[in-house]
Amino acid sequence: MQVHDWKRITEEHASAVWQTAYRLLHNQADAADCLQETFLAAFELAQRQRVRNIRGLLLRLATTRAIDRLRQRTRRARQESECEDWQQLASAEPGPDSEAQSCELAARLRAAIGQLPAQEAKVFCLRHFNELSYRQIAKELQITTGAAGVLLHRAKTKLRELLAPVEEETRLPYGT
Amino acid sequence: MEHDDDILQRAIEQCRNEAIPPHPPQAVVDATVATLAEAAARKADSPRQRNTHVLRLTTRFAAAAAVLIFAGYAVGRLSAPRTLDIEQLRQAVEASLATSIEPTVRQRVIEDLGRQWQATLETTYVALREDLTVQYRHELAQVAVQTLAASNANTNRLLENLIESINVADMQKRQWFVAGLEQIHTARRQDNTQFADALVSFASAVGGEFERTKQDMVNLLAETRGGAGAPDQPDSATKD
Repeated sequence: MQVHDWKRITEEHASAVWQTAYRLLHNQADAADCLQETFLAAFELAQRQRVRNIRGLLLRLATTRAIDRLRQRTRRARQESECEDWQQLASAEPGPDSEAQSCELAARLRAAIGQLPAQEAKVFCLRHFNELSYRQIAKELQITTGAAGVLLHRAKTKLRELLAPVEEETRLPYGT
Repeated sequence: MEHDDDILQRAIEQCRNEAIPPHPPQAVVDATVATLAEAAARKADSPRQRNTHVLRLTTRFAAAAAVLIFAGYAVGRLSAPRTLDIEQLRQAVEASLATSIEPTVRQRVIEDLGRQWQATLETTYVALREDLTVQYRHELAQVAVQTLAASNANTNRLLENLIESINVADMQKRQWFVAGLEQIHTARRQDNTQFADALVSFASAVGGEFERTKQDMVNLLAETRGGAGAPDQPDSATKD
């Protein structure tokens, strides 16, 4: 059985895992929870099977955990938007904070990633945020390189559809 | 599509360029290291712990080995020239199985149950934490709704008071203005009356003076003519 020095591994890879989680979640508490869950999951996994690339494993686990949390946020936001009290009090005009948020492309991209299927979201994040090659992504997710390309293409197509309304809204005032 | 590529690429770039703390807080790293150490200690406490699949394989292997031993022993005993005491053989095999396999199986079943309980508790903990988070957010939203409603009612009441005060002040000013106009009108009528009276008095005074001047002129003319005889006395002179 492999023996790992988890203290050293944690101190060595905590920054990469932290940045991966924070970039997707953009929230310190969630990123901290995600970091702990990632290392604990890696520890459990290392007890059961041989791990060849600990950094790749940690990045994959961090991405998976962060996407799970993004999806939970999306579900929660839908539940909260169904609250009748808020609808009674809500103004017809958007507030300044929501106006600012609607202009925030990165926030919209995160929300859109939360609406993607899990595997497509993982491929997209590993490719564009962790800058892994198709081969590395395929190896980490245990799929073929071609499948990784197909999943990435689907993810980008869906993200374009989800981001398109924002672009139309931002273009309207200029009449273009 | 080119435009969509542009927006997606811009979103990715914006996401990449966002300011991210380069390192996690040291407290988080320390907590993670502590959690991993605790998990490692748990694993170390049960060094023979293996996964369920391996446990089942081992149990099956032990059972198969016991069956083979039993079969070999039985074949040997049956092939022996002496008569076989089946009852004694059965008791010996049962005792052997009980002493060799049962403790191991019992221990592994207990360990398996312990792992299952631990996994169940962890799952329950995660679900409970999610439920509490959802409930917390829901209650926070309700409190915010109630606070906003109370604030709106208070603001409306204050606005109503302000409008009422403005109306009262406006009414008072209007009344003062009407009273002032009436006073000015009364003063103007009084001035007109006084002016008319003064004009009449002045006219009568001027009329009297005019008559006296006229008489004086007549007298002067009479005196000036002198010897032309006694002048005719005018009617007005007799009146005076």
